[in-house]
Amino acid sequence: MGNIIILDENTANKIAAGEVVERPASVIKELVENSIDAGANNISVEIRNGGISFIRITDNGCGISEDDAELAFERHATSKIRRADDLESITSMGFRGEALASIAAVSSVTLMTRVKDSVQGISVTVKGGCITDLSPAGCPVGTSITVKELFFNTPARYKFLKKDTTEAGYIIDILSRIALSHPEISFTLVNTGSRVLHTPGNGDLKSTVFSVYGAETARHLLEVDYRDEQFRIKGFVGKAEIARSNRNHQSIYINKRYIRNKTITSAIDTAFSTFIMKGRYPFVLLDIEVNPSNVDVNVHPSKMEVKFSNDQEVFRAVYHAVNNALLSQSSVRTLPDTAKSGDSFRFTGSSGAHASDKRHERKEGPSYSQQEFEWVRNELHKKREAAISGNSVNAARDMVRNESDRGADNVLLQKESDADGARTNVYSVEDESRNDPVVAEPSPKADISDTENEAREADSSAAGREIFKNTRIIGQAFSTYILLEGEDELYLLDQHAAHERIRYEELKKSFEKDQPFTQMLLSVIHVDLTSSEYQFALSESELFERLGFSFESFGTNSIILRSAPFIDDGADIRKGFLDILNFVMSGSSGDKRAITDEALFRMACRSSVMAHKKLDPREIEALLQSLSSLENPFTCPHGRPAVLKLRRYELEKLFKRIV
Amino acid sequence: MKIICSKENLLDGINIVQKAVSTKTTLPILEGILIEADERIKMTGNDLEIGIECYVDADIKRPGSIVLNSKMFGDIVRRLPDSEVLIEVKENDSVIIECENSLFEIKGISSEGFPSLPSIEKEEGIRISKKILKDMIKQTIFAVSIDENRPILTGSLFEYKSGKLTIVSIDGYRLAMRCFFSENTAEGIDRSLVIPGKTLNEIAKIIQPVDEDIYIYAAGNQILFDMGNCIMTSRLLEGEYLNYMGIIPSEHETKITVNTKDLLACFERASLVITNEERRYPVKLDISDDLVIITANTEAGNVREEIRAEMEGKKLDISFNHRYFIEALRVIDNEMVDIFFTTNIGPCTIKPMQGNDFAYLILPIRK
Repeated sequence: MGNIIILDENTANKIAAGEVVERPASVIKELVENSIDAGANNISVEIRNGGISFIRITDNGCGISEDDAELAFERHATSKIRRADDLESITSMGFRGEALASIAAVSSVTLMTRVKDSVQGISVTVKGGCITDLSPAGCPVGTSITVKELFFNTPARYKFLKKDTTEAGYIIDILSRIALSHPEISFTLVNTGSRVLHTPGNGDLKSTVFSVYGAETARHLLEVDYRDEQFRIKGFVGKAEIARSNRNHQSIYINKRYIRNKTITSAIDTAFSTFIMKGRYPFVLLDIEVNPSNVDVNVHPSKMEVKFSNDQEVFRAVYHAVNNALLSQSSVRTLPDTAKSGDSFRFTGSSGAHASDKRHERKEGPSYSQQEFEWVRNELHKKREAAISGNSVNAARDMVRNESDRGADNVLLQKESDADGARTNVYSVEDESRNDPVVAEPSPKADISDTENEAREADSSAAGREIFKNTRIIGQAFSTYILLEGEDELYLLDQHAAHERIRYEELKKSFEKDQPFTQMLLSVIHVDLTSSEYQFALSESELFERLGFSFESFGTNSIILRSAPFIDDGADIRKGFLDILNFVMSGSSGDKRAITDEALFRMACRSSVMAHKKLDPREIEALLQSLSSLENPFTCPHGRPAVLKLRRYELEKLFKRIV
Repeated sequence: MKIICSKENLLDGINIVQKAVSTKTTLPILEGILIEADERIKMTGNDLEIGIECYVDADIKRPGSIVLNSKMFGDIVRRLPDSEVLIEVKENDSVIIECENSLFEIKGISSEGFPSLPSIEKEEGIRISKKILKDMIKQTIFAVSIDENRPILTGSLFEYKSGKLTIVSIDGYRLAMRCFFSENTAEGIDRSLVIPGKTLNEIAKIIQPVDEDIYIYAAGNQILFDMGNCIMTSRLLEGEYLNYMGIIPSEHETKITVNTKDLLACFERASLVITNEERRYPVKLDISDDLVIITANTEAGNVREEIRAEMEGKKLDISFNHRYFIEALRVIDNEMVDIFFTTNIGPCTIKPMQGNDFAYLILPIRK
């Protein structure tokens, strides 16, 4: 007799459950996604013991009809797709028809549901995959699913659950991320009787962010709104103030589905690279809308991974979306908010005053943040309008220029995310130029880079001059910081960081104009590479040639360098080459030209100057002048802030002029 | 130990051996100078890479030995009046230094733990004039590589072959070669050594440009320079040096003959607009019709120099790092030199008009 048998349904479900249901948080993810697919606009989740003993998810969606209720617990039972072709164009969150069956296989599930047209609902109880009760029940329209005793029949899985609080943390995390992708749905999470998450569900993403991450985060957001013919990217990126040392505050959605993807995070990192310090990761909340046929979410049952048909395009789009958000809006750091700095001032008061202060503080706390929040929102809105109206001029000019000089493709690449919204005429031009194979690889000739620079200058002024135009120089403090008075704002400028940024941009421009000279080597340099580096280097040899590195293959996984960029006499060429190789490889799917240029400036940019130097007012003025013409005058190239601002409002609060 | 020695002699010795005393070490005794008194005093510095011994005449009252911290001992002696200095070791290695109205008592270290210099048999040595050796080192040392990735190039090749001593330095972009035919040929000993650049620097500083001879011995991975009252030992670099003869091209497309000092002056002037900013620019040579036009165009400004030259072969446009040309031209004593070019991406070679006492090879820069 053969040893091979077909597993019974129950065992198969348990095995499938292992992939789909990892922990309580995955149960909630699957069920909440079902609720979303059911068209609910109010979803509430209740958990006890970190969701291990009790989970209840209630929605006001379409519900399940009496006839279907039983079938819903079968494996591969779904209402979301009908045939394999539908996988090409999935718009619903779920589609595999596995979730409910898998969950029911490892717990005790009670489903209560009623559809709108039905008088009565139905209650189905399933334990360990077997239906134990099926009866009519009275309930509101929608579905309520209660999951109890998770993993009661899979002790191995049960053993691996973490502490209740940890599991609850996972649940809050996953629900927050789902909530952030659906601002139109109100989510409530109740953990053992206390409400830990509640989103308004009014369709405003910013209020959702506010309710999930709080006022501090909501105040430091830059809006991302980008569109090209393939992608529509919306959301927010955080300024450097709210950056974290890990990626927990980064949420990326593809068509509203929360995913993790290396290409996208590396695009974000590249765009942020000079705005943020090393080892810090920005707050990111991006929803990328893409034609479902260009993305495959059916990689793993948990649907956390996706595959793009074209990684490079994704990288480019995300990079430009984030980069434009960073450049188009002021990213001047504001000083820590007054509620915090108020603490240090309070000690000077008497103990009586202390107490009353505290009362004040508590009273004004929320209203203050709300106020701030409103302020930021208005401000952002104003800025955005300004940016758009300013850019349309550029865009129009680009169009004209583009007709005469079609080679300026990457001017447009740079522009395209500015040129969003209604200006569809720009896109049509862009499409032409992209289809034209001749301009696909812009040559680094002078005429093109000149136009590019012009365009950039025009572009940069929007962000830069806005800040420095209407300021009065107060003076210099500690021979290091420049104080400026603006309209209702006090600016503090770190002259060292600012100067560093100026030098960096100058160098960048001079390298954009023409590439470095190439020093031929007398004795070739032998470099051993890993096989992936080797393959990459050979496939991109033209790119390296342009930078000044010409090399030849020298047997398996090694190359010999014949020339090096003429940058620094004492430079360690091998190290320089490896640095650039790794830098280019890390952003391998992106805009290669931008990345190699970046690598080169880094190699060439030696540390700058001007800390602790007394500056004459004329010198300060010159510094401001050059700063105001920069693309990003707000941080030094290593991501430290160059400008801080203190609002008059905050000053007045510090002095207790307003309470 | 008790000695009396003139400050001048003492300081001369200290200045020499201090070059081999290490400054940063985990072994405190290596920061010291070993002083041994017998018939004369012998001072030794040793950082385990380079070691120097130097003999100084002195009046030895009582023989003995001690190690003194090099920096303190040197600073003290340097500031003493020009007179006789008494050095006496007391109990517990404390040392008295007395000179006219000054009296120091400083801590010494027992000489027992001081590492001795490697012993090298003084056999089959190379004999060469101090002045010539000093010149030869000066004329090649600048091309020694500082790139630690290729350790062998951080030294110069010393090749001694049937009476001809050749010193070669290569740093990846250029080569400097200098040779000397010695008429007082030693008996058919052929040697090929690679001496660390640091050692050559120090030896060039120590030896006086006089017509006395210096003897060079090598054994194992050590070399010994015997300068009479002073010897220096050093570790050698191990490994195969590049085949320099294979690098120097034997054919050329263009040849110019030009006045060395005039060409140097042109390069030096051209380099003035090449400021030390991040962005680097080369100097361009435009060679045609017995005329070399030297230009440099940078963001800071432009310069154009013309110099007459005898020319053979094709016209040529070629660019260089000005520093490499200047460093080579500065050390050439000949009034006129020949410069050979291959292509605008191939090496160019500066040679004397007659013979082949030296060759400087420089790789160009291409756009």
